[in-house]
Amino acid sequence: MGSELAESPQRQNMVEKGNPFIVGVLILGNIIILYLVLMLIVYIFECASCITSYTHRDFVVSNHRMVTKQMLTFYAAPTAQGRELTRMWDRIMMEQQCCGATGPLDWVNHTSTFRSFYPEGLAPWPFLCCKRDANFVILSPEGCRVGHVDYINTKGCFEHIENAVNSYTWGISWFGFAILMFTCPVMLLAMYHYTTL
Amino acid sequence: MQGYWLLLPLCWLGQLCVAQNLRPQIANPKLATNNPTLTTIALEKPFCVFDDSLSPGSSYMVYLYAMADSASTVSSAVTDNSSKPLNTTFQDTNGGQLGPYRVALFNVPNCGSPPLLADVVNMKKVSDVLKQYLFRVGDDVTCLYDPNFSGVCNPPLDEDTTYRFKYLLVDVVAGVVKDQTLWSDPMKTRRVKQTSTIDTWPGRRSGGMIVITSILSTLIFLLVVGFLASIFFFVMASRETSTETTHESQTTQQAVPTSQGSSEGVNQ
Repeated sequence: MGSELAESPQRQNMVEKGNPFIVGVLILGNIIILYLVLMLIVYIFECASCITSYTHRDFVVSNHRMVTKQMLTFYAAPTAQGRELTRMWDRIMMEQQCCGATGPLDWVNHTSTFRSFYPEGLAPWPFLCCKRDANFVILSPEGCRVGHVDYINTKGCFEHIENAVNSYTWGISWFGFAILMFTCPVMLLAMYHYTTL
Repeated sequence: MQGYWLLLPLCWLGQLCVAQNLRPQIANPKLATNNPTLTTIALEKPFCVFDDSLSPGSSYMVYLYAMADSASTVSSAVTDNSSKPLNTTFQDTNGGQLGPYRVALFNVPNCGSPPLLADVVNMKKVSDVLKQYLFRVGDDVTCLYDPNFSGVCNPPLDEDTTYRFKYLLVDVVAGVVKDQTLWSDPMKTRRVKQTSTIDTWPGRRSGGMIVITSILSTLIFLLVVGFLASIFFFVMASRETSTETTHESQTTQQAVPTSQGSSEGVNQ
């Protein structure tokens, strides 16, 4: 085990003196220790991201409040973030034929950025909530404004968002967890091998 | 429309079709689901309410008056001493807080051919049906600020306030009130919740999150401990081997004189 150290007499002399700096350099100069340090750093970051992704999934998926709050705060906001979110919600409302997070009453029961731009008499909810025909023309603006069930989508969009986020994050989180579980014994083996060198 | 269907048989029986016993009704919730809103209240128009008082000679209009519920104790008179309707406006009464104000006037609704609820499904007829059937108090957002506005202003109502309404049948030619309904039941506009008060805490952590966090934290702890232990053993082992090599060289050097000494001893 000590054969590599005994090779150069210079190193031998320095180790005799027990200089901690030299001991440290010798330790780092060994390639295996470098591998272990880097792997440990990567492992810790991977664990952190797996834990964080699952925790944030809880906020989004377990109930509708986070999604509702984000929608009310950013829909129709003129910032870059607001524009992104408006585009996303417009697409979801159009494709899924839904309105708001739990229904059109979301827009009516809470203050929102949307309300600051459009007065309630003109547009109590976004115009994408109105039912449209095959040519994407609103069936009846008055019916939509009044809230008649034949002219407005009453379904909420949160169910669709919840299903999508659930399915994506479930796969990613548990797959990452499986990889980490597999990597841990591999690293322990490498550490044991390092001590037997 | 429920109010309308209730009226019809009573009118035909000719007994209770007197406006003094009736009140303005809120629009059918099947038709207007978002009602009352923050600033508007939609009412049913008075179908077949005033028909007994209509005489064929002159023309009539229906006047709608609104008043905040808090003002009902102060003054709820809509006519002056000579039976003429009061000419109060929204601004005069401070939005209905000081007394009734005139919201609008429109033609007497046609009792003979009322709008059918089923017609709403037909896209072409829906806006007509809505216009004939309901009246929206608080619809006009611009008339307060428009200096050229000459008609009767119907500005938005206050939120979270209770209002009451009354219909008057006015003979346009003579300018007198022919008939009036009772004050309606109090109707309250909606109250809005602030978005910032929505609590986004998920409440209960899901089982998967607890499993992942606990297991991964344990594994990281094991790895860090293992890493430190392996470095510790490595350093210890390297220190031992370095001292062993120095001791070895000393013992080999010393071995020679002792063998010579022992051989000398043997010789002697």
